[in-house]
This record gives sequence, C-alpha cells and structure tokens, in this order.
Amino acid sequence: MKRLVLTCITIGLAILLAAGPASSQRSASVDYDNSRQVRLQGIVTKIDWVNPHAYFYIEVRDAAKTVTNWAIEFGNPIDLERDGWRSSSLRIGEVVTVEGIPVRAGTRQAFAKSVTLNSTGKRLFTPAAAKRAAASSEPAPRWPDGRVRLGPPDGKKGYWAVASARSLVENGVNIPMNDEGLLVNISDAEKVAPFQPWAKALYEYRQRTLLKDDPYRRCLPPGGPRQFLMPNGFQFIEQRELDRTLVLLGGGDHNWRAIYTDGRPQGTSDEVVLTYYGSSVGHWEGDTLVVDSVGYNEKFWMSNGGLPHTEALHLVERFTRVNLNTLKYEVTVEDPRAYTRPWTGGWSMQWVPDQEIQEYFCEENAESTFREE
Amino acid sequence: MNPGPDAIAIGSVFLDVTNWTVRIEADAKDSAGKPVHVAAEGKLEDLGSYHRKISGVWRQGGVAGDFRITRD
Repeated sequence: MKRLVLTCITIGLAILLAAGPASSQRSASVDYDNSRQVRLQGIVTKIDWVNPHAYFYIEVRDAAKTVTNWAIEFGNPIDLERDGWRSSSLRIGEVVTVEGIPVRAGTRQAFAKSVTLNSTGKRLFTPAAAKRAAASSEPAPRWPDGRVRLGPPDGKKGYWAVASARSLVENGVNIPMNDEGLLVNISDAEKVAPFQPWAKALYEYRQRTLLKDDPYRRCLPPGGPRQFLMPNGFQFIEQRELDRTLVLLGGGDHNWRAIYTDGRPQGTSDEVVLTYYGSSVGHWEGDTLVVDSVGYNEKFWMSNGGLPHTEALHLVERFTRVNLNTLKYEVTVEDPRAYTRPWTGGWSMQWVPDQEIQEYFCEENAESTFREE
Repeated sequence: MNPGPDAIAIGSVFLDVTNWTVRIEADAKDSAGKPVHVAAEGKLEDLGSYHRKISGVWRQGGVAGDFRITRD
C-alpha cells in the first residue's frame, strides 16, 4: 500500500479502435481522450453505485509520494450487473489497478477499461460489449399464424441490442472508426456515403470537432437509423390488434416510435408534422417488415458520427429476424438535398434473452457527467 | 426576403463550403418601379448547431447594412 504508483502512458492511434466509454448519452470522445491511456494504482476511498454512471474514487501516490484523488467512471450499473459486477465487488480500502482513458480536460478522471484487485489479481471488469458474443441460432419465434415475432418468444422476455456496426455507412464500405462513429482517417469521409458537397463538409466538420455538437449529447432523441445503434437497446412491442408496432428505446429518454401496419397510405414530408422519428408505415414481405418513413425534422443526427440529413429525408427500413438471436437491419437513405443518390447500409443486432430494457434517463447523465475530485 | 405583401423572391443562394460563406441574391423593384439588385453575403457561424446563424452585409443599390439570420 506504501508503494502506490501512477503511470501515465500515451499509446497511439490504435486505441481509437478499442472499446471505449460508449454506454453513455454523451459523445465520449469529447470528454475522454481516446488517444491516451492511464494506468493507476490506488486505494478505493468511495464508491457511487448510481444509475446511469457508476464511479469509484481512488487515492493515488506518485513517485514523489504526492497523493492525488482520481474519479473512475466504470459504466452503467445495470450493464455492469448484467456482466457479473455487483456493488459489493469492490470495497473501500482495497487496492486496485485501473487501466483507462483519461478526460481531455486534464482533471483527474478516467473511464475504466479494466479494474484489477491487487490482493488477489482478480480482474473485476472488462468492457461489456466484448462479453456479449453471438449465442445459438434457434429459429425465429412465430405467432400462431406463422408470422415472425419481432419480440420475445411466447411467455419469455428479451430485447435487441449490440449492433454489429458503429455507424451507418454505405454497403460494401469498410473503414475504421471508433464506437461513436469517429473515423480513424478523416480522408475516409468521402467513402461513407454519396454526400452532396455541403453535407460532406458538414460531416467532416462534425468529425473534426469530435462530435461536440451532437444533439443526442443534449438529450435530444436519436432519430433515424441511429435509434438502433444505442447501447441500451430497444424492444419491439407488436400490437397486432391495433395493426401497429411500437419501437421502445432503452436509451435516451425511453422514446418510442410507432410503425403503422394497417394499410394506411404514406404521406409526403409536406403533409406531416416534422418529428424526430418521422411518420412510419410498414408492411410484411415474407419474414421481413418493410417500413417507409418520411417527415423528419433536422434536429438530430441520423447516425453515430454525425451524418447530415434534411427535411427531405426518406427512409426505407427492412427488419428481418434471421433466427432467435439475430435481427438484420437494412436501411435505404434517400435525401436528394444531402446525398447525390439513394444509398443503402445496415447491420445486425443481437437478442438479449431473459431481460428487459432498464431505466435510463439522459437528464441524470447530464447532471453527473463530471465528478468533483 | 421581406415576407409579406412586398416580398422579394430569392433568385440564388450560393454556399462556399471551403470557408462557409453564403451569398444570397435577388432582383426587385424600388418604389419608383426601377429594377434594383439585392445581394447579401455572410458567413455561417455556430456551424454545428441546429440554430446556426449567418452574419454579414447586405447591399441594395448604394445602400448597405449588417444582417444576421438565425435558424429557429
């Protein structure tokens, strides 16, 4: 305990691709410096096991025996419990080694990527996303009439999460980016989508400024494809008697979106009140729910990474439950004001069985973004 | 421009994304019915915000003044 040391290591660009603090509402790249890593060893002095962000605090002594206090953010307690961490897993007075990402502001705060108990060498924490590998591939559950269920099998529970992509890019494009959709090489921007010149310039601006203007960071809804990239997942609520399906989001402010499957005609963006989730009508093509949406406002970013759009945005989304555990999502983006031609991208999502989406409110997050030392 | 009974249709809008300047031009008639060209040139500010602004200078004939447009 007398030999507590502080070591700060700058590692290169490679860490941009590593799992970072992605489960928060904020654009973590603005707050945390993904290009650096800290390794801290210290005594736990306080634990705040609170939703949406759990923190613990450690006293760290450097080589000159100067003692400093660090705040360590280590994720959402609900996700942590899901991955086996309990509030009692760590106790005040224990000595731990933390590897994490420091904040940009220069204050003594970091986001933990790993926490190890020095007394036992036991590693308490690894990023949740890495643990949720794809499971078995039982057939997709079906309603009595044979139609695929987008929600849980009869009598069970679960929800969708863990998108296989970090951001929306055109099919066939494979470029490195971090969990928030920040490109490793800004020169790759032109490959992301067929931008109009102004839209490409705005996308690059958002990237260069590390997504600091992200509306989602200010608790505005993640409209468009982005709703299916959120770390806290989503549920389909199929109200077959009402010919509609609700999409209930686990992140943000638990927003919901209605997809009407009663055969009503789709209007045009001029005819509807412009909203974050647009006006959506759907129909089934075999085992695929096809959803046509217009009527979007411009107050949100439609994907991680800051893809621009205009009020002319028209989306055609295709949801295909390939098996119990896999939902394929494909979206065609048509917005002639922002893109030179329609383009298509997508990803798959993973079923989280036997669990419900949990309480998570953005406003709490905004209040607790940074902690006093 | 000037929404209402004396509105002037905007003839062209040019955005230069290399420096985020905007030029708006229109042709109207003055009170004597004489054709007059209106041009407003400004720079986009607070680019990343939904409530971004254009600030600059407008000119109509020999008259000029400052303007600022903010998106609600």
